Amino acid sequence: MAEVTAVLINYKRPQNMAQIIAMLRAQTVRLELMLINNAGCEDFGVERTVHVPWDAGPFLVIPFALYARTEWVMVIQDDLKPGDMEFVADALELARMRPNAITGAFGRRLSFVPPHYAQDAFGSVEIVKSRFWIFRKALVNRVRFPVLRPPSGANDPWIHEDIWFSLAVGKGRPVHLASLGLRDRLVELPGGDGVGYSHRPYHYQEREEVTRRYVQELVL
Amino acid sequence: MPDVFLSIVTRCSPDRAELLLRNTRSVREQTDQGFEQIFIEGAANLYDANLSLAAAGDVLAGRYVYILDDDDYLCDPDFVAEAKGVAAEEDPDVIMVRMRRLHYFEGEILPDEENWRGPPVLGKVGSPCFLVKREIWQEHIAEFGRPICGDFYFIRKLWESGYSFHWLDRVVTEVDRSSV
Repeated sequence: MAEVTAVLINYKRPQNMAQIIAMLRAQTVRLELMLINNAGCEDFGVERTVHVPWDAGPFLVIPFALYARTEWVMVIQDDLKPGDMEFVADALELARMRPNAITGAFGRRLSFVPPHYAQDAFGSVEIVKSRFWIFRKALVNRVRFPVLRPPSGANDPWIHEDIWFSLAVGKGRPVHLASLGLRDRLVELPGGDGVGYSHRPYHYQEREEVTRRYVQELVL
Repeated sequence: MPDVFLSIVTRCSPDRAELLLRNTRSVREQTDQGFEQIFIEGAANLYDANLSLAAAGDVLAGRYVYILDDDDYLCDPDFVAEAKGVAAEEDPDVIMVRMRRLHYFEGEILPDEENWRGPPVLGKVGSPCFLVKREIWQEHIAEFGRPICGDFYFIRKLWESGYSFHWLDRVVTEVDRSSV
């Protein structure tokens, strides 16, 4: 019986996925793998695959966590892999100490004055980047997702719900953990030319705008 | 509280992940973006899924609440805009709309002509047929917690309680369980 469901999202980095999945299969914690197959890549033989014929962005990992058959869900993006076989076990142990928060490896602080999406940080943070997350599935039930339009006005609402999720789960407080120890045990994989979300126009403006909007809600 | 017109509540039931894609995409394609979507864990059985709605009640911010389960999707991109217009003009407690069931009865539309503008009838109304003011939703959502037909008992309670109904004659949602 799996203890954790790993929700994977794949977008134009098939060379990385094989490595990530091999490393997840080698973990001492038993995982069920659920792959959100963005833009029609292959399924890599995982237990559960959802094919998305377009690039849905990182948002889908959040509602899809509700389909997990385990209490705990982890998300790892397709440019990172665990560097050792105890990684998920240790992440789960850390996460169990914060059942109502998100445990991850890359954090940012929230500032109530601009720029709201503040500096990179480790330890207790308001925002954990969805590059790596582990959390209780039940946290998804309590989050309202507004439609987040980019400030550019581009017709693409699929932006940065992962930031919103962190802020909403923690109600804007530094309750999440961005573990430097976990980060040091993750291996960076090639990003590919122009594939990552940071290559999108307005990426940095968008994440600031999402954070600003959350601050505005808190103030209201 | 943020100014949100509509809270769309989506129950995610086991083994229907593929269907959620269609749901979320249809929601995001609305011409009016004055809504939020809340995803809650459904259940393998209808009773627990009906009970799960009550748990979402206190996090909703919308002026109205609408249920759009993961196997449902919006087929009218102007749904939110039209409902918002009705709310601005008449401020009804409940806005009734129509749904189409694609998986049987050859695309039966509910409520049908016979039951449109009349009291809710068992089997002739579904959860995607009504938008309800949030406060009213929160007060009566326990009516939904039935083993079956919670949607009918809920909306019948509102009808019998004398709340004001507006009938917005648009098919806004399609339900297709044929692939489940």
